[in-house]
Amino acid sequence: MIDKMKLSRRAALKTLGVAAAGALAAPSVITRSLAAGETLVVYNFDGLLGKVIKDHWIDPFSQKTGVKVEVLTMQGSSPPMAKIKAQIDAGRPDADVIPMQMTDYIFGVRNNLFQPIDAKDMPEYANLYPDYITPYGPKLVLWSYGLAYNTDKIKTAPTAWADLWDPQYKGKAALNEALFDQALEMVNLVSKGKPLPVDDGTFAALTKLRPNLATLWTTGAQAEQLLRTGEVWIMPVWNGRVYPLKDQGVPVDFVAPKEGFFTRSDPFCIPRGAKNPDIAKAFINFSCTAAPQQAMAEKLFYASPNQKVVYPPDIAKRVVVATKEDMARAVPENFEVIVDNLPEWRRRWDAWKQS
Amino acid sequence: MASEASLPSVLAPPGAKGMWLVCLKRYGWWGLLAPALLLYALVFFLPLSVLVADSLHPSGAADLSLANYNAFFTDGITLSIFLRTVRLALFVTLACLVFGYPLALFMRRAGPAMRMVALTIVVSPLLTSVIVRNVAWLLVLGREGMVNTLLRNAGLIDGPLPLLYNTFGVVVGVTHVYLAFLVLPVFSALLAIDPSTEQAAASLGASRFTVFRRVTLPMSMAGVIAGSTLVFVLTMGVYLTPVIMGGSFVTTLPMVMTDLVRTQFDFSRAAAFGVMLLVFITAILIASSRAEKRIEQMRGEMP
Repeated sequence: MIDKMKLSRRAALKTLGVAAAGALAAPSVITRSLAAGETLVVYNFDGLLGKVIKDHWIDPFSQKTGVKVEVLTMQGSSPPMAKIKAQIDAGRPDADVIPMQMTDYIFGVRNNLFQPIDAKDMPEYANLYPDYITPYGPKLVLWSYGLAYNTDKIKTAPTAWADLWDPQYKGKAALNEALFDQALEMVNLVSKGKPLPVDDGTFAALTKLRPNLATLWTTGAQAEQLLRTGEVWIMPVWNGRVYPLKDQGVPVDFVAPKEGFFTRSDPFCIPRGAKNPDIAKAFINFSCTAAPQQAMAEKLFYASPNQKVVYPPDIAKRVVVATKEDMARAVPENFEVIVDNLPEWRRRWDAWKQS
Repeated sequence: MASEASLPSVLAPPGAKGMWLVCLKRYGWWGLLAPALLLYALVFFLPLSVLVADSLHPSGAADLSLANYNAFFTDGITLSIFLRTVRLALFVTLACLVFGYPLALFMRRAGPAMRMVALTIVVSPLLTSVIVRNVAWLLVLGREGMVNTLLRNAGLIDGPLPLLYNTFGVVVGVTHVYLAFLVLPVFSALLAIDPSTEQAAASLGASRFTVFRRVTLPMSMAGVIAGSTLVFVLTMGVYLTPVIMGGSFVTTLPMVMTDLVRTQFDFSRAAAFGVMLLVFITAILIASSRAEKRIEQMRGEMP
């Protein structure tokens, strides 16, 4: 009896050891038995984007592995970096996975906030476009910045950013305040034909746009509300904020302007000192796979860096960057330069607002 | 609190009862204050000292430097935004006085039922989320909003009036909620006025306006100062209403601080600007309490 028990215990230990070794080699294949009961803490977006990630990334991962996923909802689409930095510096980050905006990401890398993620731990990396793999995590949720317009009020669809300056839209256009760097790059595309540098010319062009601007908005929800009420007829916004409105019957549509559109994406990172880095890697790897990525594209029209994702024709148009060629057409952005210049641009932007 | 434990021994010597009462009063009050003091030390003064320390180390540098405070005055925009925030706070305070003082007067004269109704209406915005309140205003003041539609249908205007996404919109939105902070102190100051003083003035031949100007208004001044100070100080800290109803075209100092933290990651500069705001507000509070004391003294001198 005792012998038998010993044996079985040894066998159990052996199995566990193999499983653990397997898990170490490739966390993505964490078995249900090993990870079950563990808790993973993930920062998630608010609104519709957060819901799609919860329904199609988090819940299926949870079901598959038995890991309990706790969600911390961010305000808007940017994580609270001040808090996160303080926690990481103290060695106690409150989450295992945090989606970053590119500017947050640069800040995080410069301050050594993230754990490197080795490609050998991420089997799904094999299917991602290499441009979308960073040393600290894959860039997911490819959102494209183009023009939204009211199809009731504007009969001929705009084709260019320059249309924003059209005098017929006096008091009926808007710009984004929170990601004002993107607005500045857009103005540069029109006035200089390239996104940078931001200089006197940029602000002169912006001043010419001022009579058309009804307001500035800070969150996607605010942008939606402006489009929904007809308060604003035309403005730069992200594709995923426009098409769900259109499907609800709001008379809006989205165009990728001919001067060029911007596509940004959010690296999913693991903070240094995270409690469950292996499960975090498994979750990120799972999120990269075709099914969750396909769901993101079909529900919210944000494109995927996964080459295995195949978009139906109507979705392909809406995700803006459906193919590698489309991705190459997006205006390249230099986030290092953006982060370095943000304080100076912000002062000039604030001064411009008061002029 | 330790003094409470030692009370019985103080109690023991007979004949010292009067002294014991003095002791209880003195240490007892401090004992009552201790938990609050401790809490404040922990949740206010300690973080505040961390904030001040942060503000003196620009970008995490080891050396002490006033560069962040220097930037407040010399970066070419922050001082101007601060002054505009002060201007906005003055506008809101004025609007609250214009709407709130007559309302408080009305509430003083009104019966208990009417008073209750007025009070509920004044306080109700405080019970609503700031976002809900502001978005509701968007529907009222927008280009296609209720006010503009009404005026246009009545043939009073040709184009829509710019009621939103400017200083006017922010003043409306902030006044709506902070009105309560003016009405309540003014109302209680008015209630404290003995009606016989006004009757005396009237019986001596003062007109209703003179009674108001010479008796009611001066005697309610303490409430006016307390209420205005509250509204002014609270408005110096507004963030969401200028973002939503000002369309971010109205920039307040808290918006600058938020951006420093959220997009520029310059925590130490945000801390410095926060300290500047705090110093300014403290100065306002001190000035206001001095003014109140002056008024109390003046009232004491009155026969």
